[in-house]
Amino acid sequence: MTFNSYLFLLFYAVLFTAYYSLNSTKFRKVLLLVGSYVFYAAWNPPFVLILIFSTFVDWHAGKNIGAVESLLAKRKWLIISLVTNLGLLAYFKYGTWMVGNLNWCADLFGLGHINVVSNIVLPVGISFYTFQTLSYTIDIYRGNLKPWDNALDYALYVTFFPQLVAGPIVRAVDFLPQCRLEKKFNPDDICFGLCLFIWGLFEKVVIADCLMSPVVDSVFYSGSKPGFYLAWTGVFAFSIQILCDFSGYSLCAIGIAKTLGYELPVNFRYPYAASSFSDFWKRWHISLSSWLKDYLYIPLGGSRISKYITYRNLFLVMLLGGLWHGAAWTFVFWGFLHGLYLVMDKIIDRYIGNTKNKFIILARMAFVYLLVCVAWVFFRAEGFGQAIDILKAMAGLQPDGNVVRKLFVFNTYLVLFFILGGHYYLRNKKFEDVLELLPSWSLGGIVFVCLWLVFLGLNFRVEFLYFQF
Amino acid sequence: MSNNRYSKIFLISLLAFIVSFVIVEFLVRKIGLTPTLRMNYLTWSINRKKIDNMAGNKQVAILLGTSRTGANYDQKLLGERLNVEVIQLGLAGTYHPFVFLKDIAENTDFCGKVFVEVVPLFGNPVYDYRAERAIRYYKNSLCTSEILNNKIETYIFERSVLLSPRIDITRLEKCIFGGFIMAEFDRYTITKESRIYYNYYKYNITTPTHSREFYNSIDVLDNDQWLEYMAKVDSYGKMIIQRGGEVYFVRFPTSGLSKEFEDKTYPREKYWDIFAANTSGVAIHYADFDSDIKCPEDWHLDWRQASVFTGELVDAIKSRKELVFDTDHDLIPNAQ
Repeated sequence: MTFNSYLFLLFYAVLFTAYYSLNSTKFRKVLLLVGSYVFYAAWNPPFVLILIFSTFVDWHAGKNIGAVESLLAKRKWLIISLVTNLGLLAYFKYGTWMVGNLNWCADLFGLGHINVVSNIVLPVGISFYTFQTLSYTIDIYRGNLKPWDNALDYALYVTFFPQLVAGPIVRAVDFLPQCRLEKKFNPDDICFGLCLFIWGLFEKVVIADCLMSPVVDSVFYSGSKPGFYLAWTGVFAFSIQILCDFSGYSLCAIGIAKTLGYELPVNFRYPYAASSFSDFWKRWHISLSSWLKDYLYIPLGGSRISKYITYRNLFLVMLLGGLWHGAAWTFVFWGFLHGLYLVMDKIIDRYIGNTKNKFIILARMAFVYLLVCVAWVFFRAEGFGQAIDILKAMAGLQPDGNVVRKLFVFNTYLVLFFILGGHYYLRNKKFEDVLELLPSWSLGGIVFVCLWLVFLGLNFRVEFLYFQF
Repeated sequence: MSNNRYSKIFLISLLAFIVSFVIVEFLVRKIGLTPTLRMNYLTWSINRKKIDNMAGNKQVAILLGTSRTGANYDQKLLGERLNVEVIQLGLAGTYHPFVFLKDIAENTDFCGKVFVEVVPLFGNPVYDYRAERAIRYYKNSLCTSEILNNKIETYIFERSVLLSPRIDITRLEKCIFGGFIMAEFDRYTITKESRIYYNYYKYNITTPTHSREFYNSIDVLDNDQWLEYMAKVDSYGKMIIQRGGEVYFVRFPTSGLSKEFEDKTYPREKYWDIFAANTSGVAIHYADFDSDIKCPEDWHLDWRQASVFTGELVDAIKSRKELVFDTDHDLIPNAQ
């Protein structure tokens, strides 16, 4: 079930009404849990069992890690949790890809092929909830969190439907204590959450799907021969599409959670106004980058050991981050490029440091944005061949191919202008604070216009890009 | 947050939206718009799913093609006269019917009747990706929630002109660069569940949809390339025929600029006649019919002429006492 569907609106209306009709906090949580399973099952019912299995394993692993005394026994339970979660992820997400790679190697050495089921269906959101449950057991192992004493709360933490399939990746330490609080019917909070939801849908339905998706598709299809202008327009359009698609989803999730009395962490903070690549990763998919930092980068040594170990760690984390996004070498290469950018960042920082010069900051922002766009080519392309063709076109090395439609140019650069300008203006501000500054009539006008555009655009539905991850 | 600010903002905006929606809905209905439904990836996928369960069923006809497949057949008439259930698998836009044919041939055991729209200019494989996207959607995204959502959507869309046909916000181009169309007056489609009926041109629009510049911008395949491509198409048709199915390749009527373009770039004797003489299926060309059918805007038939065309098509099929589906030779030997 996607947020941009009538089915979700109906589901949410029923759940919301039932939720606030109940007085007991416990019954409300049960309702949310059942609702979350229904939400997930609407996509593919049998996969709910994997979700339940993962919840069950990590609940017990967490409990046992907390209960046993010896480090060895704690480690044993942590390994059970890691193997279960990463095993499921490896099978469902990377199984086909790994077998493909093995077969490629076998071909190289003239060995026989491995014949296994080649079309494994990827359970939606598995990368998100796997990371979420892993953070729970790892935090208990590290002593940052005590095993939670309420299985219902824990199950809700894993399956809470607003963030179940595409994040933000919530930490147990942030979510579980909220389960203890009584949720009061607060009309202002609910309406604020609904405003966020509508704004998120506007980003997704209007900007990403209606305006940008046709431009992107006209460049990134097999057989496309874009020239210089079309290639750049398509890549800029994709930079907007992926941002609005994903930040739109996150905003919808945050808004919906807020209407039910839960707070989810902010996932995007004007990423295209980043003045360095490390700044970019503090603004883009924050819940994932902070997860990778806390559970991978720092345990590897972070930047504490030596310059070269730091570079190695950055590469390793970004390569795995790339692989997290999808089972394809293009994603790995996208991660590699970001690893390279981060290393480059460290080197540039040595010379420029924390400059206050506005011109240099602006130049760096443009530099970061353009290189991020170059990396997006690998993220979106269907293969290296296509990515290289598009990069060649961007470098002016391809003869002019497909014609750029006036509509595409107009839509893309108009939206790009507002997004880059908006990100620059808001880069150090909180979204809520900006809303507070706006007069009520203008905010009302924005909600009104968004409602119109969202409803008109709802039958032009494209699935959320991040569902595939 | 203070003074219930967001409650006031949200509720007033919502109320204003509902009131304005009702007013605009009333106004657009007053000028003659009727709620209509369009075929999209989801409805296409729902229809496509049915074919997976039709192995051995010969009393089914599937229609593969573009918007013209939707517009040019009177599906009710076709179903009644051939005594078959008709499943529409045409998608408005440049969707390549041959990609759909490949999918049906390779991924199903379908052995009923298949009507494949042949549009010479779509012999260009550059358009394949669009149809591939529809198939990808079917394979990857069709799920319980999408089917349920379609039911709700259908219910809503049949009751709101504004939502269906929507005011098309993707058509900013028309608004900004001239010729703004608020909604698609001329596309009139009725859908019940997943069965789609297209009745284009209810309002009898007579302006050509495409300009001379459009036709001039089309990449034209030469004779050999086209036949090579059609040989591949024919090989998919052959797969269906070999399991007992019937494959009809149909050339729809064109008029005006469209006909001028086709006659000039794809003259019948150089293209169609060679294909028709060698295909494993049955090739039917509109020019062989008795009636003089015209497309109001050069490209699609209107709903009245669709009935005439469909009647003649069925007559043409029935008049061939023994249909010959010859799978023994190739259009171009060894072309795969």
